Amino acid sequence: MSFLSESEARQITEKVLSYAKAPATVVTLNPVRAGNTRFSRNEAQTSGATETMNVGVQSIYGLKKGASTTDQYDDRSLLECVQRAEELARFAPDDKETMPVLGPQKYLMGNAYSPDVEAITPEWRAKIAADAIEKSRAKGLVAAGFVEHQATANVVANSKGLFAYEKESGVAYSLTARSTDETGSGWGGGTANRLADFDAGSMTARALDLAVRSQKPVALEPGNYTTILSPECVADLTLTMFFGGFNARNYDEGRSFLSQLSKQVEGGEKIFGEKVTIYTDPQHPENPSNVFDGEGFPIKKTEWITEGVVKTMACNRYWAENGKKKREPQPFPANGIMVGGKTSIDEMVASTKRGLIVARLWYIRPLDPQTCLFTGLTRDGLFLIENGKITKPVKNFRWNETPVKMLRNIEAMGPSRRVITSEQDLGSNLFFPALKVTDFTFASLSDAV
Amino acid sequence: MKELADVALDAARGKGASYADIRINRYRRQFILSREDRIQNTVSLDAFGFGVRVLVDGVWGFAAGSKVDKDTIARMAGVAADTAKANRILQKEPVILVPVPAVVDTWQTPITKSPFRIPMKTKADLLLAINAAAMKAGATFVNSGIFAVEEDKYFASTDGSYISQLLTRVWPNFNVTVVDRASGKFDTRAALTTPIGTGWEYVESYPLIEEAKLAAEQCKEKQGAKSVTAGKKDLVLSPEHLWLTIHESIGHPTELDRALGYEANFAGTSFVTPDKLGKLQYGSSLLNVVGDRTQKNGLATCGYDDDGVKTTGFDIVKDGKFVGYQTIREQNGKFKALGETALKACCYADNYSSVPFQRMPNVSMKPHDWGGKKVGFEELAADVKDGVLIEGAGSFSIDQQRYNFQFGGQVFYEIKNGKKGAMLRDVAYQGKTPEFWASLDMIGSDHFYKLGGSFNDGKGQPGQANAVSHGSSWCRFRGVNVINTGRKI
Repeated sequence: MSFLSESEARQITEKVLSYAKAPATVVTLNPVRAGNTRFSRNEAQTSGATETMNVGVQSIYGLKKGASTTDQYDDRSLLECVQRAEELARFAPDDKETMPVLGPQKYLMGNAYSPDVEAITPEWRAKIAADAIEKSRAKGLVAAGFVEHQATANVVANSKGLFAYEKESGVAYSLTARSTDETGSGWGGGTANRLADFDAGSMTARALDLAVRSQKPVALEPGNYTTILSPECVADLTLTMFFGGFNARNYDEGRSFLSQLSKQVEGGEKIFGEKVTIYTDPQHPENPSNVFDGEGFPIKKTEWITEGVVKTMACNRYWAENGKKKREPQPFPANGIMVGGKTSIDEMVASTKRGLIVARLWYIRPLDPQTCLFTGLTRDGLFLIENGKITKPVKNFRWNETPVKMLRNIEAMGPSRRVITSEQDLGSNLFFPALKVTDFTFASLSDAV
Repeated sequence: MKELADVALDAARGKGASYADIRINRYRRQFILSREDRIQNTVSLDAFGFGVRVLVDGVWGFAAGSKVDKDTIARMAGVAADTAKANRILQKEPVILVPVPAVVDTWQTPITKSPFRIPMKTKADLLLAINAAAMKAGATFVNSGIFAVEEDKYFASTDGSYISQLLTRVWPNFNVTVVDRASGKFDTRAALTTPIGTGWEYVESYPLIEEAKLAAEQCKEKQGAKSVTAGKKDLVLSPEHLWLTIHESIGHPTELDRALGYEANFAGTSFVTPDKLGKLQYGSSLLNVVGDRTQKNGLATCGYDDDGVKTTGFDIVKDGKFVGYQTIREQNGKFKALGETALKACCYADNYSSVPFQRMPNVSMKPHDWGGKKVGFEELAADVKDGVLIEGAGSFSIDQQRYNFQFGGQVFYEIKNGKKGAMLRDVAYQGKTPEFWASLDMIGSDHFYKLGGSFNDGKGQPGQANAVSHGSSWCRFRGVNVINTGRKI
C-alpha cells in the first residue's frame, strides 16, 4: 500500500461526503504505517509491521449527532460507515451543545513529517537493538528495549468545504538496562520526528551509565528533600496537571484545582513560580505537532503559563461561546514546551548540600484532583547528593506530590530538551528542562529495582 | 475465512516459517456518553483486519493490515517473515513451541441479549434516567456511559487449527460530582458497576438508578466527612474495591513474562522471581488465588487463547503459598526447566494489528468455606476496634516490581468497636505486597462473592489493553498503613 497522498485523501473524503444524507457530515482519515522491534533478556522478543487506515464519520442532523468508524475503505464499507453514523444520529436525542461544523480554515505550515522515518527497515531497528545488547553484555547488564516508528496522515473534511491534510512521522527508542544481580537499573529514551534529530546511541549510553551507577542502593528515610528532577520527570508531572486542570469548563464548574484559585487566576496573579513559562508551538523545530485538531480547528502558538501566570485553558467551541465568560476556542495542547534555563545538572548538584537526584518517575496516578495531588514512584536511578556531590545510589521511593508545588519551588532550571513520558514513547511531544526544587515529598520506601 | 487464512499460512511456509498463525478479526465497539440532561455522543467503532505471526529460525515476526484480500495477506506474511529474519542477529536461544493438538471449533460468550441489539433510544433513556436520579439526589454534575464490545475472532495456524470465537463484553457506568462553591471543595463518587463478560442482561439486572441516587447522597456526605487520621488500622475491603488490589499486587507479579524480564523496559519485572515458585509465602494461609479464563462472566473468558490453546483454570496461590505462574505456550518450551509445563492459555492481542503476547487471565480469590453460613461485612467488622471500610476502586499506583502499592477508594467509613461509623475522606492505604497479604485474617463467604474488573489493563510495547476480571468476597486485613491525602494549595 502506498501511503495516502493528499489527492487520494481528497478522493476518499469526497466519496464519503457524497454518500451522506445528513445535513452536516465530518470525515476523518487516519492511515498509519508503523514498525517496531522489541527486545529483552539481551535477545529479540517481538517485531512487527502494520499498515492500517481508520475512517471516521460524524453525522449531524440539527442538534442530533452520531459517529462511526471503519478500517475498510472500499465503497461498500464507506457507505455502511456513513449509514451507521446517520442511523445513530437520527435516533439520538437533541444535544443542545452541538455546534455547526467549521467552514474552510487556514493552517500553519506543518513540519512534523520526514520521509526518512517512513523508510526505516527492520534491519535498521535490529541494529539499534544489537548495539544496545552488545554494550549491555560488555558491562554485565541485561538489556530490554523498544524501537518503533510510524508515519501517519491526519485528514479532516466536512460538508461545509473544510479540507485539512497533514503528514506526521515519528521514531522512538527506549532502553532499560539492569544489572544481573538485580540491584541496579538504568533507563534512556527519546523520540524525534526526523532521523537527523534522533540519536539512539546517546540514549543507550545514558541507560547503561545509570544501570552501572545505581547498583546496590542504600535505604534512606522518606521525607521532604531538595530534589533534582530530570526533564522526563518534569514533563511527566507537568503533563498530569494539564489533564482536567487546564480545562476552562472544569474551571468554571468548580472542578479544576485552579477553581479554588480563581481570584488569583482572574487577577493575573502568579500561580506558579515566575520561572515557569509553558506554551504550545506546532512549528517548534525539534518538537513539532499537528497544525489542526480532530474537527479541523487550527492549532496555533499558544501560551498556557507565562512567568507563573495562567494565560489560557483548553476550551471547546461550545463553552467558548456559552461558558462563564466569552473565550477563544482553544484545543488541548498539541505539544508542550517549557522555557528552560541555563543551569547544568552538574551545577545543580554542586549547589546542593543534601538532596536527591531522580532519573525517572513511574506509575503516576491522581490522588486528589482538588489539589492536583499525584502519587508515583522513582525508578531507574535515584541518588543521594551530599555537600555538592552525588555520593551513593539510594533505594526507590513512593512520592505523593502536586506539580503545583514543584512549579512554585524551583531553585534552578536546566536547558529544555525533547523527552518521552514514563508511559508513552512515540507521540510524546514534550520539550522540558531539568529542575532543582525544594521540599519534594517522598512518602515511603520501595524495594523495587 | 479458511481460504484467506490458508493463503497466509502457505505464504509463511514458503518464506521458511516453521510455524505461522493468522487472526482475521472484526472488533465492534459501541459507546454512548451523557452528562446531566444531554447525550453527548453515540459512537460505533468497527475495526476489521488481519495479523500474521511467523516463526522463522526460532525468531518471531509479525505483520498486520486492514485490507483483507489474498494479495495483501500473502504480501504481509512475507513482511512478517522478513522481519523475523532481520532479527536473527538478536536471537540467543530459539523460541520453541510445545506441540498442541489441532483444533477445529467455535466458541462464544454465553449471553442472553447482545448489547448491540438494544436500541440506542433504550440506552439513551437509561443514561438520562441515571443522571436525573443523581441530580435529584443532589449531584452538581453527573456523567454516565454504556460501553459494549464484540470481538469476532478467527484463528488459524500451521498446527492445523481453525477456531472461530465471538466474545461479548458490556459496561454501564457513571460518575457523580458534588461541588461546594462556598468552600471550593469538589468530590466525586463513581459507580460500583463492573465491566463484565456478558450481555445486556447485566445492565438490566443492576440497580443503576438506585445506585446513582445513593452515589449523589454519599458524595454530598463526603464533602462534610471527617478527614482520616493517618496510622495503622484494620481494613475491611469490599469485593468492588478489592479486585484492583488483587489485579495489581497478585495478578501482575505472577505473570511469568514479567518475572523473566520481558517487560523490564515498560511495566517492569516482578518480585516473584522464578526461584520463588513453590516456595514463596505470598500471604496468609487463608489466601487461595486462581487464574481462570473459563470463569463465568469473566472479561478474559474465552474458549481458546491467541496461541490456539484451550483455556483452563489453575492455581496461582494455594493456602498462602505461590504455586504457579500465568504462562503462554512458548514459555512451556523455552523455560521447561522452571517446571511450568501445563498449558495455561494466557496469550492475547487486543486488536488484529497487535502482536499476541502474555496477558492476564481472570485472577480471582476464592471465598472462604464457612459451611453455608453467610459471612460478610458485619461479621468481618465485628472484631475490629479501629478500622476503615473501603468500597469501590479509586486511586492506584504500584512500583515496577509490585512491592510498594497505594490504593484509594470511592467511599470510606470508620469502623469503631465492631460497628460501621461515620464517613471518612482523604483515605488511601500504602503497603508492601507480601506483608499486606500476610495481614489477611478473615475472608467472607461465597454469598458475597463478586467480580470486578477493567476494560483497559495496559501492558506491552506498543501498549495493548486487556479486559480482565477479578472476583472476591469481603476481606479483612490487620494493621495496614493508612495515609491522609488531604492537602492545601
